[in-house]
Amino acid sequence: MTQSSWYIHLNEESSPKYSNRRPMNKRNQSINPFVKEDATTRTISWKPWIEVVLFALFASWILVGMNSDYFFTVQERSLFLANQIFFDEMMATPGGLLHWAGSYLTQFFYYPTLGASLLILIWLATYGVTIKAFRLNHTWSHLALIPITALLCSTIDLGYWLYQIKIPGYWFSESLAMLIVISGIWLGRTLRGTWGYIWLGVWIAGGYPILGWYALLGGILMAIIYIMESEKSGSQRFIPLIYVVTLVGIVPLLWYYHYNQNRLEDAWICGFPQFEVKDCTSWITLAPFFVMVAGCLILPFVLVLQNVIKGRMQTIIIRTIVITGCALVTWIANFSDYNYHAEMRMYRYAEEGKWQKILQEARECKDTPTRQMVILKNIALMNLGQMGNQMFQYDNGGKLLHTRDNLTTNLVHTAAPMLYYQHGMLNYCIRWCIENGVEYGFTVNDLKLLARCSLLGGEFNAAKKYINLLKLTTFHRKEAEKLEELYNRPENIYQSEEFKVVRELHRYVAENLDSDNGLCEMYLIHYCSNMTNNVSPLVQEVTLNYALISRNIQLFWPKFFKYAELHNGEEMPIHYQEAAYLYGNLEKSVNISQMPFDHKIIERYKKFNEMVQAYMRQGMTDKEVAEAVKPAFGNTFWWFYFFCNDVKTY
Amino acid sequence: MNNKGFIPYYVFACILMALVSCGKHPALPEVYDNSNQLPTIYPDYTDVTIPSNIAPMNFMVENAEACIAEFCWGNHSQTFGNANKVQIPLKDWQNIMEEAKGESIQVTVYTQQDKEWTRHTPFHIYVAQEEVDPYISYRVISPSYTAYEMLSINQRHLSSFDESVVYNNMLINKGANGQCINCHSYQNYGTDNMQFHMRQAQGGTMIVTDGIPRKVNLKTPETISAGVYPAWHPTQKLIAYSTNKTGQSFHTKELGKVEVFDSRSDLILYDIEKNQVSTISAEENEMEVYPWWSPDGGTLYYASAHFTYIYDIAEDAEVINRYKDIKYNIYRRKFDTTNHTFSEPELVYDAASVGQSATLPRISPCGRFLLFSMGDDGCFHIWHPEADLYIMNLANGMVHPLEEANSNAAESYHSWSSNGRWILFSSRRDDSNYTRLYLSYVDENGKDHKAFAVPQEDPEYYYHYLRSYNVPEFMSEPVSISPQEFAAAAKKEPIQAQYKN
Repeated sequence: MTQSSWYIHLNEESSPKYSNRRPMNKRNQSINPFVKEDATTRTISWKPWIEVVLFALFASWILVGMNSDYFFTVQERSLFLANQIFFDEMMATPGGLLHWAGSYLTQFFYYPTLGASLLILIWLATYGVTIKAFRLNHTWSHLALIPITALLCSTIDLGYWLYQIKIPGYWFSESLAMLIVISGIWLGRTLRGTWGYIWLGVWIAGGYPILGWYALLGGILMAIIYIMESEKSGSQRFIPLIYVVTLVGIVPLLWYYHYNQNRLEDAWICGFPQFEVKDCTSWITLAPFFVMVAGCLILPFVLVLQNVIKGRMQTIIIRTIVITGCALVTWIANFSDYNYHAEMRMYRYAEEGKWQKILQEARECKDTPTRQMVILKNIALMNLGQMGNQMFQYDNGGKLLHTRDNLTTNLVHTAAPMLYYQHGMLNYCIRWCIENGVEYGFTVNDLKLLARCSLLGGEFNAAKKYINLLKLTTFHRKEAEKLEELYNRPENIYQSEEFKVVRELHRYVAENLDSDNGLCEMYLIHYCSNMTNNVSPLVQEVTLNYALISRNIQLFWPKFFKYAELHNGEEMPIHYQEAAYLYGNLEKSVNISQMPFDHKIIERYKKFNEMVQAYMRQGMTDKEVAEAVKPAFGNTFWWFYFFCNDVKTY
Repeated sequence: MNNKGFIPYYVFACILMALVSCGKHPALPEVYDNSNQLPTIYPDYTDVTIPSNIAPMNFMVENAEACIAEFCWGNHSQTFGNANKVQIPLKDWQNIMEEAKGESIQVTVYTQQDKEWTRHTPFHIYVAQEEVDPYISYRVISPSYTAYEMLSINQRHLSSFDESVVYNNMLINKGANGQCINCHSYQNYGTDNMQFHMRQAQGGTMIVTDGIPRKVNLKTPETISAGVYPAWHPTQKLIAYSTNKTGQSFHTKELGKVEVFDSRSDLILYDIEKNQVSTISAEENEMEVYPWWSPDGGTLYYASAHFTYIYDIAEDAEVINRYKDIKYNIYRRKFDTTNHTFSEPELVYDAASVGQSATLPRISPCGRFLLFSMGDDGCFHIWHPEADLYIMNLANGMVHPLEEANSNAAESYHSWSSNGRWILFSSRRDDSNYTRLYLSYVDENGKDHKAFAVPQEDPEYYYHYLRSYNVPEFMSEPVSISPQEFAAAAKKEPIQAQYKN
């Protein structure tokens, strides 16, 4: 349907000529406000296509311009498999077909512009169908923006719920549901009498398995419309509502005995988005759906509005309020936290092995980074062999994750599998992929990591399984085929540059029975700083770096000496010199007087010491000293050692 | 294996397959090369012995463009095959089974690669005289470590592909209030008397007696925990349980990945009619687990590890530090069925003396054989790649591994069929991570035959399925109580069991 065709139809519908051509709508004619209000519609030059264009442009800007990295992550954290098992698992709950279709379409965010375009098309179609179904004329067409704006908000307001959402294909399934519901209303509106009742029965009883609670919503909306348009008087007018309420009460109950994995108390809300994890039920992420439902419930009552609000100025003001309100609410709903998006970009670069890009992101960071960003930065430096010279050149802080509710998000939800993988700790990567897969549903990201870990760990049949599953996706087949080549020629794993660091680190992981207790970074620091490998220069350097991060002097010295031994004749990296010089001065357990420190480091340490002492004498607090010293010495190990203390891992 | 379309191609494929299967069988290629190798089929059904009432043994040839299998038995032959899969219609299969019972079927597979056909060396499928119990049940679970969303106990009709849910944990609670369900168990293969556990939210043990479900809390102040690993007495309304303090820890590198361990465990007896719990065995420095009754109900077998705590640290921590020292042996105690008393323990198999750990004793229905799982250490062998099944001839004490049934991966939980000719067990041989169910024929001398995966309608199913099957049990009949009825019973407050000295 084109925009112009909407325009023509709306004009036709609101003209006396049109109503003459459709005598079967005579009953509507007396009810439908738009037929009565020709004068208003003729005098106002506003066209729905202006709203359509505005909405499409605005949605494109929000979705693509501001959230490309987010939507790419969305498809990485979702899964669609073109096989019967996946279909059956989706269909095991009411509304399953929506989730199946939503999962399929979510894949298209692999190209965020493509995915966003599909989503916008669905919303525009919903807008058009809403106008048809509720017979909105030009004056009130902006009300059709409310449901689709709510849907737009629902896709971009999730924040860290992205990592703990349990609704397959969420980003499309709800929009598809609304499109189907309103289309159903449109169709239902053409039916009257017995056929109307039959349609309502079929819609609710047959629609429930496909749409879940959306079928109930559609039924209720249709009943309201039937009441509004009924010529019957008194209690007879409410027969459709009684009929629908009865169906709404009984149908989910009957279907409960068909499905085997839903609670009885959830039977009436199956398919309604639920944001519920341990200790957190989010209402703020549900707000768009309440608005959407409220928006839909208002639409059948436009007649009342029309009778109350007749003036041209009044309608212009209302339209302006609705349109600007929609834009404003969307702007507020958009989860635009800088670190949230930076984490996603850095994660993707790590996945693709673009280490320089990670460092660039870390350099350009406009905020105190989160721990995930800091660890990813360190992983990039580790892969580039630059930890010793650059680790403290970047901000090593730890801003807490920005959330809008009391959702607790840990690294194990977001990046722990990748972080463990990059440290060669394949068992722990596998563990968290599977834990998260069980709790929140498997994702493309999980399957890729599981395939890599299985290949590197020598579990080739398991790798084959995950590769085969990846091949069932629409956009990750190439990745699967790349991994399949390694499966077919395992000897190539040992020559692959991509796996070089991970392979080396995994080779020297010591076998222990252990647990991270859900705290990935703490575990990495503890485990890596206590590694005792003295054979691999890479492993030895990693453990030295983690000894620096742990600020444990006793762990540092043996690792420092081993580094010097393994890198005899090479220049000692700056941060190792800084640490050695500091520890040598703090504790006299090691004689550093004969060590060939760079004189610039010695000079700089003296200046650092003098500056700190001076500020302390001025009575500054530690925090104030840290800030005062940071411009000159924020890129040293010393600053990290003394002042980077209030970092909380998660 | 490539699936390039987005529209559910398999819907069309199924329709097409149904049409094809209703029509003529594929013609054998006229021109082909001969190969002296067996075809590489999945699941591996080459030279296996099967019961005549098993579902069609569908298989696929993974790297073939197309395949045709010619089944020859007696004076008959029939061809099957579509693309790279051989999926035999149920009716056709049942006819073959009826005619080939007690004989063997020769299967010749032709595969097409680069448009060239190859005829592979034929293999045989032996159809045993003895049938297998018509139903099995198992828990479907992701191979997770601590998370347990979406667990279900399912039952499967072995003669077809019909599968249904006995109980699903999502029927009661979800997410943070989730429920772990486990350890379904039946009295004498029937389902009128059965049980399973529900842990955490609205937890308890669901005990069905004479077809009526009720939830019981078996935890008493005198016992370590509620009942854990169950064993129904074959004739009386008694269930022996272990009570366990169980923990787990994670291997940083070993392929086993997880170590599930007990730091304490005892045995209790639950008298259903009296609602009473009593202690069977709670020896100091002994960890008793996995009780199992002899078929006559006169002896209780179980595994037990001798373990003395020597460090002044938490018990869990010490077990983690010394987990390789925990070796289970198999013991038995005579049971007085009148007074419900037990004799002193008798060592049946000293696995520790050979540096091994033996668990899950199961006595064959004829009472002559003891089947058990054995690994290097510990009691939770599904996470032990080295774990295998062993059989002991109780008459002479001779023990041997099931050489034909075992694999290089973990073999663990196992059950005897009611006629004692089949064993059903879980194995990780397919991909080392996901447990699948295997059946093996065991002859009257206790000799095992090559095991085969429980067939699925789509032979690719196991490749794609991201869940494990565990605790496989044979049943003579399906569970007739609906999942919703179980859910309704589970919502009620549990009946508190009483402890009896």
